Amino acid sequence: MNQTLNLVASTSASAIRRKPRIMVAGEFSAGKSFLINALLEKEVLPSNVTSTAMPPIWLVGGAGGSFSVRRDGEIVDFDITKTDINETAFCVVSADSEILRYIDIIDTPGNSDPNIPSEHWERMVQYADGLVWCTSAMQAWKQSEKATVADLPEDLRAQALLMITQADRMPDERAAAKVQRRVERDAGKYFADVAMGSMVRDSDVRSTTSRLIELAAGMALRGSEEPAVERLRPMQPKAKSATTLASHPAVEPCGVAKADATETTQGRETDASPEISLGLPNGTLAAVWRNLENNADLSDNQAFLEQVAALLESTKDILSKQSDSNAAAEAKAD
Amino acid sequence: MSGLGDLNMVYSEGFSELNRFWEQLDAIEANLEAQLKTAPEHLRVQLERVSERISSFEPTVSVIGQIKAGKSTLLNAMIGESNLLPSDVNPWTSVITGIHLNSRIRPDNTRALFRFFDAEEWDRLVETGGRLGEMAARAGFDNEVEEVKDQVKQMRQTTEERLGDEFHQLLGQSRSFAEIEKETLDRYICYGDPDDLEDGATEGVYADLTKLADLYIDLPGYPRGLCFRDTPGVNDTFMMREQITLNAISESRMCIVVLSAHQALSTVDLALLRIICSVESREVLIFVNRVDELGDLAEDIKKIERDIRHTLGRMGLSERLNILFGSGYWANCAIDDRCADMIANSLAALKSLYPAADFTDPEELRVKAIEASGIGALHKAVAQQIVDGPGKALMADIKASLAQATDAQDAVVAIAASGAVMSRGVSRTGIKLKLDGLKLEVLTSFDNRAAAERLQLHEKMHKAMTQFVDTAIEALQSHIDAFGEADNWTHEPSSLRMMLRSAYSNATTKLRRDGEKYLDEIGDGVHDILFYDLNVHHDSVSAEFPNQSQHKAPTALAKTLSLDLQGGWWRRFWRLGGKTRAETRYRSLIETEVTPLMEEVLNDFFDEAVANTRSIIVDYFDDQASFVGAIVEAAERMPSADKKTTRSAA
Repeated sequence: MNQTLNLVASTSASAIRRKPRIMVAGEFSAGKSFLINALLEKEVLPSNVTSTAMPPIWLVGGAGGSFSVRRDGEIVDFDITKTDINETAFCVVSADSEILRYIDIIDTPGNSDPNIPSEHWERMVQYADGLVWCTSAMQAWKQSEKATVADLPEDLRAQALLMITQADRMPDERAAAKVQRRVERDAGKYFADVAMGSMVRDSDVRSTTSRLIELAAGMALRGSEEPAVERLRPMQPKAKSATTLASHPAVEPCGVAKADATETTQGRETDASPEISLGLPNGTLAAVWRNLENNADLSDNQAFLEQVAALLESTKDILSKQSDSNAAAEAKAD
Repeated sequence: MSGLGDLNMVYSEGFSELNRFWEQLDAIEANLEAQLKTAPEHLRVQLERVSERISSFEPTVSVIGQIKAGKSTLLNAMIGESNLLPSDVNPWTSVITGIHLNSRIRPDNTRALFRFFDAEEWDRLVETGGRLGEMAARAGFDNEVEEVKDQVKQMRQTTEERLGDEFHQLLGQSRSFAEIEKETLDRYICYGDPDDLEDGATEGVYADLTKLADLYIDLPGYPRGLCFRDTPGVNDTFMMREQITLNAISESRMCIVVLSAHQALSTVDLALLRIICSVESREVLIFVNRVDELGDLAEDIKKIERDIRHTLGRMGLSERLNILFGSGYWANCAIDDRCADMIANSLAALKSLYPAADFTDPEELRVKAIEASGIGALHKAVAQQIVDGPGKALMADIKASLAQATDAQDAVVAIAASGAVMSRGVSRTGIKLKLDGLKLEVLTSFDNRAAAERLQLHEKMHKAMTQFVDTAIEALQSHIDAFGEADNWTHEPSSLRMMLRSAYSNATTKLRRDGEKYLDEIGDGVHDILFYDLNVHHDSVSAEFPNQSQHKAPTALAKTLSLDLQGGWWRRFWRLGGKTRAETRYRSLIETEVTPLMEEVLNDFFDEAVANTRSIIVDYFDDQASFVGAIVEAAERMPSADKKTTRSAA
């Protein structure tokens, strides 16, 4: 069973650039859940003044269903009331939110909570491509945070945003600016970017959303694969045309299904947005992927995209033949 | 500075318990002064000592906590001077500031006194990069050493540049001011915002160099001889401030641990509590500040309290700790009578507490702000703890001393009346020699014993360290077996601390018992002299060893061990080599970390406890010797046949 899933994952979902995953971390009560709920435009996560003993939650787009991955690797149904943080590695929760069309968001339990060992969030570091580190404007950037962040992998920090949250609780604009300046001075070198905002302000939510999508667009995908999460994606409501990746949620961010292949190939070189729209049959992509796997330079996004474009160009003929036969197959099925 | 008006009542009320205690002390002191005028010579020293203890009694309450928990704001609220200590949205408090209320030991013409680091301290600070730099160097993390050194070098440069020639003149010196002015405080006790400094502001120009600040304030209605200490926050990215704070804790019998309501009790707070609670739990109070920033106030407070108690219990800390909630901000708004300008969220929170109150009435708003601020309750709790803790101990000691003095006096009077008789062959000189012999014997014995206990303490601490390394390496081995070498592994250093601390407290308990034993020995020796040489049957009131603590809490143990810097240190540490190499490095790292710590516990804490115990023994002996002297004198005045024989014999 698992093997089949892996196969599916490697031949389809991960065969194209998967969605970047952004981990949201920080000390407890730093406004992580509040930030995520704001980004999702719905209350998916409970937020609390005291610590919340919740395992990491991997948020994916669509309505594919949710499940928990236990620490022993077993996959069980997701039930928030019965989730034991000590037995659960993380939960995968799907939510129908705009931002999840572009990225996955990984929520983590707060650091420096005396009741939750830090390993619970640290284990998610391996999967993350990017990071949003939340620090409250009221007690921003403490030594305990600095020590933790300084130890994160450098390639993750290079794609990290320090978010000073709860800006609305600052007495005035001047005070907020003062805090931001100090934090930029002290913490700037650990992050790609430092921002301040309040998630009760719509404008801040909007700007944070676009900042994240922008960050994600240029992101090197450093996170390691997680078959259990990929499993969720093919489990999407069986698409009408099971053979076309177009209906696959993994490519959904692209706006997808009916997108014009030529437009995307051009667009990708100039435009940094993760919009990829392919009506590609499985076999073709697998071939492209195998080629890429051996030759692609994943650390350089631009180079990678150029390679993809070239490859696609060279398989244009196959593409058109394939889509013809697809059309025929669909017609048959109908 | 500010007018509390009628609200002052609310304030002084909280301290009434402490004020009553001071009234008692005052009565005793007045009585003592009267007695001193007529007291016989042999009691003078003893009575003066008691009097001195009363006038120098100044319980100190340290306000500690993480950065931006609102310590300075809270302290301002507590003394009803909303603008005294500078506070800012950024953590700039860099100096320990003692606020002495209605002090009787205020230096002449001084309201503000600032003491600077001396050249040696400063050089050590900037050369080694302070404690963090030392640790990093020991652990072999050269990048960190460089980082800290850079941080410090930069500080040194700006400080020296800014101060120019003044810099060298200030080292090791102090400056005093006859008045407290806001500008002065801003310059000495708070780092300025570097952005402002570039614009030529003078805030914080001396802050890098200032080691301690003392402010003397007279406030009617407030207790006499009470000192509050503001401390730099812990968990600051600028770690040099941490050491300053830890020094303050060791010198305070009482601490208010301030937590910020929005993140109450993190691992850092807990580490802090662990250290100070180890002393005696009744001396610690938790104040959850900034509740005005909570969303659903009433519910959140309940949750926070439950959470804190749960965590404290789980961590083996006392659940009886007094936990108070409030907001220094609310109090300061009320003090300044600017409740109308209160931040909207804070005002909303206040309103949620008093749904029935009419907040269009400014006076009602003000009263409620004071009430909800929790400052009154905090005053009360502080007062109660002082009275029950150091106050009670002081009172017991005074009473014991006075009882002894009265007893001695009565005995001398009675003997003078009934007639003491020196035994045949006994002389004043002979008795003096005997007393000197007794003193020598007791002190030599005590010194030997203390030395033996010191050795034992050292051995025990060393054993604790070895044991810790062994368990840690064992744990590491099983971790490697289970997860391989790549995975994370940390080992909580708190068990090491616990063992070191219990070794220390065992040693000081023994020291106390020794003290008691030697007081008894002196009592027995004196009894023998009285009985055999002076024919006096007198059972002195049994010697009381003072209740007041003779030892400081071993806060040296609280210092950030590199083991605590969990972040990367551990992991990178293991990455540096295979298991065997790691084991050797680990062992030597712990040794280099813990050895200076043990030395500090021995030199700065245990030795001081020994010295204090010794001086108690000496004082007691001196009192007894004066008592014997007084009886000898009485005997000499006695026109008895026996005395004549003694004289002629002499």
